[in-house]
Amino acid sequence: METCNSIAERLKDLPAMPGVVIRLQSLTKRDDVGSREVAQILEKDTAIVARVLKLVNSPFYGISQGVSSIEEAVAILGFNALHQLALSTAVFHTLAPGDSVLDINDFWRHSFGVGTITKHLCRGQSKDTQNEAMMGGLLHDVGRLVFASADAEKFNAFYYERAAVTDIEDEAEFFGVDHQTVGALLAEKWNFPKSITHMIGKHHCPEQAPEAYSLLVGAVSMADLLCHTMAVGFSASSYATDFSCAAWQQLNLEISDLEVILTDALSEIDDAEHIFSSP
Amino acid sequence: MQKRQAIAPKTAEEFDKHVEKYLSMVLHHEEVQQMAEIAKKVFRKRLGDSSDTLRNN
Repeated sequence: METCNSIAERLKDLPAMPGVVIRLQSLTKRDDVGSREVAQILEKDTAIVARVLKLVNSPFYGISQGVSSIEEAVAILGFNALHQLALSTAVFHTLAPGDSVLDINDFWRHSFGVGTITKHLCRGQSKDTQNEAMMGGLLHDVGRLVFASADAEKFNAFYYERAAVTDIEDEAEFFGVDHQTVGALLAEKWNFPKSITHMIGKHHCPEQAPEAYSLLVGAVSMADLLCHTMAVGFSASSYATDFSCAAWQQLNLEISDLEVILTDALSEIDDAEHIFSSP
Repeated sequence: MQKRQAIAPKTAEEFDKHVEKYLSMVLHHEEVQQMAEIAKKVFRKRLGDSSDTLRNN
């Protein structure tokens, strides 16, 4: 069994967050960011530009005219949405699952599904909160990518040669740390916003989230449960947290609201299907 | 026609089986049962058949 420290130690060996994303992060502290400035930074990484433009032009964003430049994308989506897109795109691009048997398309589909449903569960909140909901949901299981990326053989042994449902206690015993904790460590290392770090680090224990982030953490936990219930993608294990009454009450929704929420969210996930093949 | 691949099961029967199997793994809450029923309804609508015909296949 490995210790938590040894896994944390391995984080030092993981690829650094791409430089352009770090520079974008620094812009989030300002409120006078121009689209040209963002474009000049992002255009230094053509792989990220290509992926971001592919996402922006997917039906998910509903932009009828083709978007051909980052500058245009910033003007249409706004800096915050584009920053989150670039960040999540960079994470999936940087943390390759190596020789693990993880089906990255299914993983991406589950992640995107949780992000989309989290966003819809937060439909009564501000646009910024909805953006954070999408991003936190998209990245909630990033810790499993860390496991796959760090040691594919061990990842395969745990997730595919044992039971299909492995809870976080099993993970902690096997790896020395569970996937939500290692995901939060990575999020801190990469300076993700605190809300996203808590969504990653507490999505299986929403009641432990600080009060300021409890709504978002509760929403991602609920979305994870819904995606597992409906078999939306697969992220190596079918384990999801039990229903949290407290999290549900915070969302201030009726159960009947879920019909519209799920219908809309699943339609968006369908629309994004073509992007799963190359996240 | 738009591809509908968000959900892995392709028939109502497969979907119901998956939902029931999943529900057996989580603690019972009335709300979860209600959510599952809504998920089944949404799935049937996606199939273009909201009748109960497939439910009993």
